[in-house]
Amino acid sequence: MVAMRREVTWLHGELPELIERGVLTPEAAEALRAHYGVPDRSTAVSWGQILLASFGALLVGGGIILILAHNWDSLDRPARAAVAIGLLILAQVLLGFAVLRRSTSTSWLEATSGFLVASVGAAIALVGQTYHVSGSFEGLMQAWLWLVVLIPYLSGSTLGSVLFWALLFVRVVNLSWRDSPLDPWLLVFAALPFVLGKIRRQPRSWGTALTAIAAAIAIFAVGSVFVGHDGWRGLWAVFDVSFLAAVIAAASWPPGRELSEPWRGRVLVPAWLALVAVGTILTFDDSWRTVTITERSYRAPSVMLTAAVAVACAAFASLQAIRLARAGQLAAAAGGVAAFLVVVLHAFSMLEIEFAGWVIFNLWLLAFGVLTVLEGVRGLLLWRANLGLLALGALIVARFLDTDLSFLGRGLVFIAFGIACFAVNVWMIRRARRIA
Amino acid sequence: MTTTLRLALLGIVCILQLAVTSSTIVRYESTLRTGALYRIPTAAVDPADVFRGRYVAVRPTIVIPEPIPRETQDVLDRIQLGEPGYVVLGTGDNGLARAAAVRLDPPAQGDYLKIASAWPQMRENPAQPNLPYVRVGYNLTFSFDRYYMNDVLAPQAQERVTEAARRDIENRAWLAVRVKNGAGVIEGLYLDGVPIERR
Repeated sequence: MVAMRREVTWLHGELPELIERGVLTPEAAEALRAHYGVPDRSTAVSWGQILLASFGALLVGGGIILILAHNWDSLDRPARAAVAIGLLILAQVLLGFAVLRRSTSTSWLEATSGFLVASVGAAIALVGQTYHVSGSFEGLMQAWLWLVVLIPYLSGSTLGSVLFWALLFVRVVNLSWRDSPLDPWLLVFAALPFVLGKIRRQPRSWGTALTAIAAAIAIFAVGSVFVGHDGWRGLWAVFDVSFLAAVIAAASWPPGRELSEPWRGRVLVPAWLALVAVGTILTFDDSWRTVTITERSYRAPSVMLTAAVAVACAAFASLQAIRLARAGQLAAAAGGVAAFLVVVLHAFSMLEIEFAGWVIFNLWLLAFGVLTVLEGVRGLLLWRANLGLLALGALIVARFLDTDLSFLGRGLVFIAFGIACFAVNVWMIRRARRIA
Repeated sequence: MTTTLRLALLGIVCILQLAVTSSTIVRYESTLRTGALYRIPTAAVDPADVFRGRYVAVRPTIVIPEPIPRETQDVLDRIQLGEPGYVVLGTGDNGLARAAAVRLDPPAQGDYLKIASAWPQMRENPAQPNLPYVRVGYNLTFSFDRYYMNDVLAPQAQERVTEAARRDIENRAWLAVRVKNGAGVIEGLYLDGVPIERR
């Protein structure tokens, strides 16, 4: 109901005019009012206030880290330790106060959660600096992440969650190729339910969109880093395609319904673009020639877990593809089909049937492009039609890079495709105006 | 989730956060206050830590010179291959730490440190062309490898330590390390007997 506050407010504003024009009887309007209830303005959120509070908390936390990193020569050792612990306790008390006494204030919860996340890192860093504690950046990030993973659950904070995912991203992209810790995946499993719960409870909130995007990027980074480790060549394609297809499947759930929540669009656009990019790479035969697995991979739990996550994502995306296809959403179903195909074709490549991979992905990209353009044109969805054109354009460029056609021939094809894109867009815009 | 439950869980999380940071303080403070003092020669480089500031990256090293007894040699070979190893510390005539013994398990008594890595120290041997390098001992290194300093002073300190290493008679730069129950905590970085901060 919180998520529908905006719509209920709008409806209440419209009712007097609808009665005046005779569209609704006063009784019907009253029945609607009774059904949807009065919008609760006490929980209305001032996003400017939240942004300022969160930004302030981040600046305070970041500033403290910088001051500490600059070294406090004037303080002796016990004083520095006391500052580190004192800072942490202050942040904990503030969050405790926010949860106990300001639980309806989003500004308080967001700001104090952000401050606590930053303070945990600052405390670990200052103690490490004071006592010349050795240990890698990886060790610091690992401790930091585990100590803050539960904060979003306890405060409901978007900022706490986004910071967590950002820290996880920073950690995994800095991992050495020799390091394959298992716990980034465990952190993902620990933190993901918060994102799913937020999507379920507040599907229309921009905070939900932000959290979902941050989580998707961080999880993509975790998987992409591990697939580069420990000798399983080609696993990157399985993970990337399956994960992106799963994100698309989740954002298209449930099939056959008009889906207007903002988070879906904000997740779908980058996911589709990334899937088209990865799909284009897989249309080259080189991507399938190097598929091999060594014994070292079996001994690396992080790699095996990544493979398991990829297969789970592929299974989910494939099932969703069947439902989407039944609902007539063929273009959306193509994402799930890609996940199914990449798993099967990866297995084929291991059996040295490599040509199947690039041949079928060429066909997939072509089919996806055509279906998406048709769906976009039929529904007058400009974005969707252009996504299809992008897929077709990527396929044309990719194939023209590895054919012997003359430059004149290539140039003519590019010009023809460019004119076709222009024509489709102009036609759709005119048609949309005419209908409007 | 009720407010009471949320607060209870928040309390547990806060205790965990405090326990992790406090346990480091307690362990290191206890070692610094009551641990035995050793001087371990070191080399230095100067990186920066994005969160913890600038530090002199030290490489404290104890050298076990040849001739090395057969049993010690076997233990060193196994440590070099990745098995955990420990060095029992003693003090040499020059006042610097030396290896009294090397073991694969922690000793029941005496001051000792866990070895991070062990590798042979080689020297050119022009007298014998068929044997261009000859082993002159084993280097033992340890896990403590950072000395945090003011970010203005740290690069200067690094230059001084590098310069000292170039002049090296024997180990102009050393770390004062407090040792207790196998843990070593850096107390200070010295150059020619003077704390690096005062130079």
